[in-house]
Amino acid sequence: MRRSLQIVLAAIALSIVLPLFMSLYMLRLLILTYMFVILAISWNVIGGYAKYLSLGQTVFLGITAYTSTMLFVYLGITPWLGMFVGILMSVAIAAVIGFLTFKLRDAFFALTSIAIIQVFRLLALYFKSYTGGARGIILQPRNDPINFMFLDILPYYYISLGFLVFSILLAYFLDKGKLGYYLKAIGDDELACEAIGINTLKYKIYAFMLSALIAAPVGTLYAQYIMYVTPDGVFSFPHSIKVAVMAIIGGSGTLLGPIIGASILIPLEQILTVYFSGVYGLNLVIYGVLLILVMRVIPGGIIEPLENFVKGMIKNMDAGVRETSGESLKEEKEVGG
Amino acid sequence: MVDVNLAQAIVNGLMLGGIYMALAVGLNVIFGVVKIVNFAQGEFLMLSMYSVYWLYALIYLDPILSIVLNIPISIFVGWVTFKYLVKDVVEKGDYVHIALTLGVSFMFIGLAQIFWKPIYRGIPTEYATWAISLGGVNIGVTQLLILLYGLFSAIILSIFFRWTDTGRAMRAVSQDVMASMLMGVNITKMYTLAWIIGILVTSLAGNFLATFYYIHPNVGQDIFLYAWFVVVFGGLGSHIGAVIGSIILGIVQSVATMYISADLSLVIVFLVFILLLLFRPEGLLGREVRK
Amino acid sequence: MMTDILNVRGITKRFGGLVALNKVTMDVHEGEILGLMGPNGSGKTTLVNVISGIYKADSGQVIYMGRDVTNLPPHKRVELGIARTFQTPRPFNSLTVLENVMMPILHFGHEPDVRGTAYKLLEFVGLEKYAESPIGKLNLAMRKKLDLARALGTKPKILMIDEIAAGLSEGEVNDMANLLMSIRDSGVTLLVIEHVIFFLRKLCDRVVVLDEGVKIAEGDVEEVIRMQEVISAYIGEVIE
Ligand SMILES: Nc1ncnc2c1ncn2[C@@H]1O[C@H](COP(=O)(O)OP(=O)(O)OP(=O)(O)O)[C@@H](O)[C@H]1O
Ligand SMILES: [Mg+2]
Repeated sequence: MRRSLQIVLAAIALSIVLPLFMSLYMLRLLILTYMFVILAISWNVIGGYAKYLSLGQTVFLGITAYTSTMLFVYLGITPWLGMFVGILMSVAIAAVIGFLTFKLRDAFFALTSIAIIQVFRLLALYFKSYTGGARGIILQPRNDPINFMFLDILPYYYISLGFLVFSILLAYFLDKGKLGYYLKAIGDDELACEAIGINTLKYKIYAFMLSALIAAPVGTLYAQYIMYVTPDGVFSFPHSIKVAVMAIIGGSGTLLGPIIGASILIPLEQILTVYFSGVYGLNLVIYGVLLILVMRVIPGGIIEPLENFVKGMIKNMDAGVRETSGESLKEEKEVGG
Repeated sequence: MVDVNLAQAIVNGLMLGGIYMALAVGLNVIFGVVKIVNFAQGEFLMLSMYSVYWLYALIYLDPILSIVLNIPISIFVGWVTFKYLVKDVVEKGDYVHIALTLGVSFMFIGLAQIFWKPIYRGIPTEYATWAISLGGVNIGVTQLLILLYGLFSAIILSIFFRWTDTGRAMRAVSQDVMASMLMGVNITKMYTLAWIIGILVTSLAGNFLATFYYIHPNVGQDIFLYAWFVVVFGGLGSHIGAVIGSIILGIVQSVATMYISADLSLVIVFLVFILLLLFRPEGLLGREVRK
Repeated sequence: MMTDILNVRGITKRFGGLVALNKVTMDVHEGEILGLMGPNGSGKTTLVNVISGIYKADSGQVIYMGRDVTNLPPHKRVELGIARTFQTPRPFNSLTVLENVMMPILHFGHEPDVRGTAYKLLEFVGLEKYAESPIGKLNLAMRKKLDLARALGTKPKILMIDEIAAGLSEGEVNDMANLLMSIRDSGVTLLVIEHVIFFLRKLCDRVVVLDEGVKIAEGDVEEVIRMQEVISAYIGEVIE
C-alpha cells in the first residue's frame, strides 16, 4: 500500500515536471492520451463494472462541448462556467437515459446506446442555425485564460492532467467503495442483486451519472483545445467504440485496466500513423486483433498478466530488501460503509 | 390521385428496404440459432462486395454472374471465421460476443482500408441505369433485384426452418439447447451451419448491392445498424418480421427524407427504434430470465 | 389463532400457452416450516419467483403480513423480509465467498461490523474455511450453502429455500435439516421446496403439493404422501 502511494506520488511529480522539457508533439500526444484515459475510465464505470456495454459514451463529451461552446459564442459566458452547466446537463441526461434504457440488457442496451448517440449527432446536424451544422462552431484562437483559451499548449496540458487526476480519484473511490461492490455484483448477476434487496436500477443510474460526470469535462477541454466543435467530432460513434475497446483491452471492471489500455493504445496509434502515414487502417487492424486476442485468451484484459508480473517483481524486490512486513503484497480489500 | 413524388418515394423506400432485408435475414439466422449478436455482419457484406468488385475488375466477371463463385467463397469465409474465431466463445454471453465481433469488424475494416484504400468504388454495369416506368414512377432494375433477393432468401429460409429436418433441428437448438442435445442433435454442427447460412445470405446480397451501390470499407457499418433496427422491429428470429420491418423502415426513411429532411428522418428512425425496445422489450427480446 | 406471515391468493402464471401456476392459494403460518413438493415442472420454482417478485403473476395476489405486495419490485420485498435462495445458486463470481455474504449486510447497514457478521454467517453454514476463496473453489453443495448464508444476510422474516438438499449425501442432508431448524428457531419462517421426502418428513410442520401448477394437497407430511392424488401425480417418479 505504501509502495503504491509512493509510485503514484512519483508519477504525479513526473507528469508535472517533465512536460516543461517536452516537445510540442509529445505534449499533444500526452493531452490526447489523457483525454482518452478519462473517457475509458468513464466507460469502465458502466461498461466494465456493471457490464452494460455502452457504445455511445462520447455523447456526454458532446453535450458538454456544445453547451459550453454555444454559451460562450452566443451569450459570452466563459467556458469555465459553461463547463459546469454542460456537466450538469450531461449528468441529468445520463439519469434520464439510464432510467429509460437500463431495463434493456446486453446487446439491446449496446444497440440503444448507439442509436442515442446517433440521435444527438443528427440533431446537431439538423439545427444548423445554432450548431453550424456539419461544419460546426469554430473558435478564434487567442490568449484569454478567463475564457479558457491559451496560445501556449502547457496550460492545456496541466488542465487535462488535472481532469485526469480528478477522474482517477473518482475511479479509485468507486473501486474501493460501496457503489463499486454493487456494480460488480450487478455485472455478475442482476437477479441475485435484487434477491438480496439491492435496487439495481437505482445503482445503475448512479453509475451512469458518475460515468457522465467523469466524461463531461473533457467536452469543454476538447472544444477549447482544438477550437472547434462538430457533430462528427464529438458525437462520434467510432470514438465511442474505441473508448470501450481500449478499456476492454486494458481490463474492464478494474481500476487500472482502462488507464493502461488507453495509455498503450493511443500512443501506439499515433506512432503508427507517423511511421506508416499513408497506410490507413493499420490502427483498426491492431485494435481488432488485440480485441480478438483479449476476448479469446485473457478476457480480463492485459492488466491480468501485467498485474501478476508486477506482483512477482515486487515480491522479488521485497525479498531482496528483506522487508519484515508482508503487508505491501496484500491488496487492501476494505469496504467503505 | 396519388402524388407521383410520393409514389416514387415509396418505391425508393421499398428498394431501400430490400438492402436492409438481405442483411437482416442473415443477422436473424445467426442471432436466432447461435444467439450471437454479430457486430461484424456488415463487414461480411463489405468483404463480399470487394470480392465481387475484384472479380469484375480482374476477370471482368459480371457482378450477378459472380454469385456462382461467391457462394463457395462465402461458405469458406463463414466456415473459417466460425471455426477459428467464434466457436470457442459461443457459450460466453453477449458481452464477449459483442466485443469479439467488434474486434472482427475492426480487423476487416482495417484490412480493407490497408489493401484497397478508403476510396469509393463502383461497378459500372450496363443495366445499372435500366428502369421500369410505371405511370411516372421509376423502378430501378438493380434495386428491384435486391428486393427480390431479400424476399427470396426470407422465403427460402422460412421453408428451410419449417420443412427440412436440419432446419427443424436448428429451430429446436434455438429454443432449448439442453433438450436438443439430449435428443441427440449435434449442437456444434448446427451452430456452424447457422453461422455459415447467415454469412452466406448476407454476402450474396453483396452481389446485388454492388451493381448500383458504392463499395467502400465502411459500407457495412453504414447499413449494419439499420439492419438491426429491422431485426428488432420485426421480432427476433422472425423472417417474415424482418421482411415487414425492412419495408417499413425503408419507406419511412425515404418518405421522411423527401418531406422533412434526411437528418431528421434518421432521428425519427432511431427514436422509433429506441421506443420500440423500451416499450415492447419482452416481446421483442423473446427471452425471459429463467430461474 | 395462528397468524399468517404470507397469503398466496389465486396466483396464475402463464408462459405462452403453458399454465405454470393455476389459481394457487396457500397460507404460510408465522414460525412454521412449510414444505412445498411436487414433481418436476409442477411450478414450485415459479411460485417462489412470483412470491419474491421476479415474475409478475398474471392474476392473483401475494399478501405479506397483511399487506398486498403483489406489485412491489423484488428488492422492496426483500427489504420487508421476504428472502429466497435459488435452485441453481447464483453467486457473484467476481467477489470472494466472504464478500458475497457481505453484500446484503453492507446494503442494509444494520450491522456495524460487516465483515464479522458475514464471517459468522459463513461459520453458521460451515463455509468459513473458504471465506477468502473465489467462487470457483466451491462445489454445488457449497454454493447452495453460500446462497443460504447470503439470503440470511438480509435478515429475513420468511425465507424460501429452493432444493437445497438435492445432491447432498444422507449425512449432509441431516446436517442441513438441523441447520434449517435452527434458522427457524431463531424466528424465521421457512418455505422449503424439496423432493427428498425424508428431509421433508424430518423438517416440515406441513406440506403443500403442486402438480402441473395446481395445488392438489395440503396438510401433514405423512397424510399427504399417502393421498391418492399425490401418489398418482408422482407416477413415474420415486417418491421415497
Ligand atoms: N422462464 C420460463 N419461461 C418459460 N417456461 C418456464 C419458465 N420458467 C418455468 N417454465 C415452465 O414452467 C413450468 C414450471 O416450472 P418450475 O421451474 O416452476 O417447476 P419446478 O416445480 O420448480 O420443477 P423442478 O422440480 O424441476 O425444479 C415448467 O414447465 C417450466 O418449463
Ligand atoms: Mg424448481
